[in-house]
Amino acid sequence: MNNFDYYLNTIGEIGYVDQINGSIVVVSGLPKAGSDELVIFESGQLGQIFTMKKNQLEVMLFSKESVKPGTKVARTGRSLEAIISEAMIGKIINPLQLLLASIDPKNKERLYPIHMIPKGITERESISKPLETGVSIVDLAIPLAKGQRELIIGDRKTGKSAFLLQTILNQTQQGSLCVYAAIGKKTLEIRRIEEFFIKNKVTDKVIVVASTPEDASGIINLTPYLAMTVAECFRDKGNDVLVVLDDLTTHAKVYREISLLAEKFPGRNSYPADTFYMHAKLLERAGNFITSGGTYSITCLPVAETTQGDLSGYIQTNLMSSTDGHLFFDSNLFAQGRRPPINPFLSVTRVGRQTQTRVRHDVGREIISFLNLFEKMQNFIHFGAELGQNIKTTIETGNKLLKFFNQPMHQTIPTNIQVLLFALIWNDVWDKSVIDDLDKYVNLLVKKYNTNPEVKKRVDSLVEKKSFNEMLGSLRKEYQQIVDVA
Amino acid sequence: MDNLSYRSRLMSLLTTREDVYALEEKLENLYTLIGKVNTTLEPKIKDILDYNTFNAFLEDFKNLRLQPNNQTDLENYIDFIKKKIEKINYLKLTLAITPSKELIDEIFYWINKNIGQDVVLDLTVDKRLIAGSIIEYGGRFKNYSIQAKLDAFWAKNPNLI
Amino acid sequence: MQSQGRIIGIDGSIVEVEFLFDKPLIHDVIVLEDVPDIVLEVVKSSTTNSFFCLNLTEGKKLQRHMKVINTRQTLHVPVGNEVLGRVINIFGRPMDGKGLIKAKQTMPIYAKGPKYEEVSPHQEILETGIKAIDFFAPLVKGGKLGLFGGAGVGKTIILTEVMHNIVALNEEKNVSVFAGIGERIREAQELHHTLKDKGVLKSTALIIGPMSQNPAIRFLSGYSAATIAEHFRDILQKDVLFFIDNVFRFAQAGNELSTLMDTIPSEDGYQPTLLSEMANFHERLVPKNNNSITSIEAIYVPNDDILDQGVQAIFPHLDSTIVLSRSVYHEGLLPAMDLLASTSASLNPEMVGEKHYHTVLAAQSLLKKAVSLERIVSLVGESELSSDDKVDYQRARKLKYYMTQNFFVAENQTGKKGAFVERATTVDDVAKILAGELDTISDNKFMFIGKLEELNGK
Repeated sequence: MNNFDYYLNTIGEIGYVDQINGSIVVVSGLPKAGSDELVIFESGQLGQIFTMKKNQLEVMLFSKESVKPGTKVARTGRSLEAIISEAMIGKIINPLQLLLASIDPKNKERLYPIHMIPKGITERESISKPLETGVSIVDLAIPLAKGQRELIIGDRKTGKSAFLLQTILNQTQQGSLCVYAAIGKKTLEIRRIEEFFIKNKVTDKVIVVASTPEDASGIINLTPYLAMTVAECFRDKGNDVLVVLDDLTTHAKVYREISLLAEKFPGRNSYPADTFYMHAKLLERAGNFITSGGTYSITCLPVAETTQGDLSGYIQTNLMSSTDGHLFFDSNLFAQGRRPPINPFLSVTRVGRQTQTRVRHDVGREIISFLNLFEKMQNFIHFGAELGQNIKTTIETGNKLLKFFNQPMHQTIPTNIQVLLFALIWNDVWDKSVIDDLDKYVNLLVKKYNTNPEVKKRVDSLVEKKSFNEMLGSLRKEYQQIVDVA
Repeated sequence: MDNLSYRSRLMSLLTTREDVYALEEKLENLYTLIGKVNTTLEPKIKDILDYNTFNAFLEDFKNLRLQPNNQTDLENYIDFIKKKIEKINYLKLTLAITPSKELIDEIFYWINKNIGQDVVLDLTVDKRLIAGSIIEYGGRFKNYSIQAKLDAFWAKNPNLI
Repeated sequence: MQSQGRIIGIDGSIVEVEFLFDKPLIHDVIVLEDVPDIVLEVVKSSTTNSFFCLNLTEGKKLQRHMKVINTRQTLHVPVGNEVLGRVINIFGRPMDGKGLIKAKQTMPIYAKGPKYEEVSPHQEILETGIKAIDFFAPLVKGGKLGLFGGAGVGKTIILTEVMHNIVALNEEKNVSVFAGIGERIREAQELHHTLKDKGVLKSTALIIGPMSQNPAIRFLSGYSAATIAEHFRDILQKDVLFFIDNVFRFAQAGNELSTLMDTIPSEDGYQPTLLSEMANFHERLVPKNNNSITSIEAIYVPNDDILDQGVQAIFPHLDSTIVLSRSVYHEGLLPAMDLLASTSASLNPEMVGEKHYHTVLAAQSLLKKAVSLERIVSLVGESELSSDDKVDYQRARKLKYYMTQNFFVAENQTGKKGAFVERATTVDDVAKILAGELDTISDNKFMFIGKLEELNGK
């Protein structure tokens, strides 16, 4: 007996499709239908009730194929809930397939709601642990923390995906679980992401929740919520989870489409007025939580696309004001060859700094104020006049730093090495030959750090001094010792 | 015609959906009579409707104080019946065997007594039910067929197949 | 005799109910006969016999034909000393896990402001201990201070610091009421934790309607908090410090609600009733019969667009405004106040005294001059200025640096101890800088100090 017949007979109510309006279907009958209930059509298709009037229901269809008027409809008695299990790890999950599996009457597994009310203040704890992305400019100058929501924002093709994958790589290697939500992404893009995970051998720590433009809008809309539910489940099993929502600007457009078809009143830029609320509620599900098994975090990196670097769009400002900061991927910097092209002046981190050690704090401050100065200096270069030695040194150091911050996609640097590298450049320990071949030396150092425990011990003790100044004091001597050991 | 609550004799003749279709056809034919000049309507109406329907028609006209030969009255009456037809609640009944006229009348009598007077039967025959019936009314659905009982049995005991 | 009806339609958080007899009034609370914990509030009529209600609760399934009962009451919130030290939602339910509020009294959250004769015109300055605020935009007791800023420029931190500084001084007479409208749960948790840590929680009542809640809850959080503040002012005769983070979210929630009701929008897409909603709310937060409510409101500026109608609707109710600037923030100057754009209606000799008044005028004109000099400096460098201009330029920078301050509540982020500086000291210090007494000291030394006398140790 198929699902439709099962539910028709068990619940004992029937409805008929009266009218069709895109992905919205008007259904009569089903007297005891509940708000937000899932319904199943004779054809096996799934839909969700979202409006109930005296004699009709409006149902959002979860498939792109339409239904004929007169088609029979049955109630399932279920809401949006899904099976979440360990079997999902390393797989690509499609929300529709998951829903269909979840409403199968033969299913005995526990179901988790896709829409959850975010936990209140009694179940949260202040954020205290840093989240290391492995990308120097972020970890040193715009640090993130576990449980933070940091918006990744910038124009198309500015390297946002590369950065996200670097972060996932670093985090999974440190033991966190990652949930990647691909919202309405092309199949090719999803395959590429999968390839990256396979190639870097992290499939045992990632789950991909994906929808493509082939899926119905109703399903694309569910993607980030489902990803959050997956994250919450695994958090409760005792994991720190990283959730990437790629991307919420697409998601907002899909939500707008659904709302306008349902004739909800348009607000700014025709987005429904509850767009802010809808995203805020989603993002508030991330944070640092107290569970029965200990304190675990869900860190969220939502992605937003801008056009021509305009940060003042409606969706963009909504997201910026509901997250705990943003990393701005500047297309101008991208054009100048910076990778990642993160603009430290236009980026914000609201909670990252409180988790840093004293040394890293100092380093971060030095970097930001130096880069500020460096920017101002650039103006002077344009005059072509004689430049004082001070200015020349500043510019030289600045260029070295920028070179250091340029990081290829597959390279992630442990935080202590980042601090050491910065110190070496800052104090001018390395000569020109090293700087010219910086990548090679960095890779070498990272490799030695990861494989030679003696090197690791020495580097760690050098970096974990009481202050940056103290560290600089013993830098040359201790660095020489490290080089000798390596 | 404002008196929509009037219990029409014509409507009470309707038992099944087929009856409704037949009546609708007759109404369309009656419609063609309107607009013709110099005709006495009553004999023509009698031609279109069958014996029982015609009597019910006359009774309605008497109760509603209408003149069968009056074109306006006829037009209003037809619209009135059409509105009534729109409001019919159908009880969909699927049986495994083709019912006899007596069986249909019995079922209809039972429905009138227990559910209401404006209900019309929508009958379908489906041998796959084996025996028993499926009843659908007001969005409610009840499957009393042997087929459904067998399906449920096999679902519980898949190893027996 | 119960007033009964039934549900006839559901559309997201709008529930349509039918009452054939004994019809409900707008704002009446409707509950369900068979499903506990659902709260509906009547908003407007749909037909003669049916009404649109807002579902204030979430997560429960509703069906058509479910029976509903009119409680014949509007929403109430518990008031009095029992709410101090607690975190509650708009219904008065506890959010801090410390059990039900055993209040002796509840009051309706809808109320009107005091009558004309009852409003006391305000007179004194309320010191915050934050130099930039006390000097450039002093707070008036019984007045309203607006904190303007876009995303991520330090609004919430300043609110928290003021709360800490003012309440810590005088717990007998002062109570604080904090309305968290549409903000992050993390911030509510951190605020709760900080207030507890600094010993300020016991004299504060926190009412929160975070951004994860539906628009009705966010909108009404402001009213619930105002009700609690009014009760402290009128019945318990206290001076109330009323904090809102963030009043823009109040306008936004009203916007969402009116769109839900299909109301035709006004300018910038806001609800046509925006101005009256703002006014009704602010008119309740005034001093009455010699007890005051002093409000400090954080105001988010969407898209950094200060001309947004939602933002503009708040301005008329404010006495002082503090504008936070992203460019100041990026220079590393905290609090990131735009010293020239921030102002207060109390900057007159009667309120702040002659010395403060004249000093602030001189400071403002110096800063204005520095702004025009800035353009030249960015092109040719400071060394090219005339010697007079150079002096002014450097004094202006020292003044800007002096205005930076370490906050008590940010100690764990900065690693440095906070400072409280009396207004009189600030005025004296600024006068000294303007008079040139500190021209020889390098400007870096002025960063993140408290009083000028700390420099003598360096």
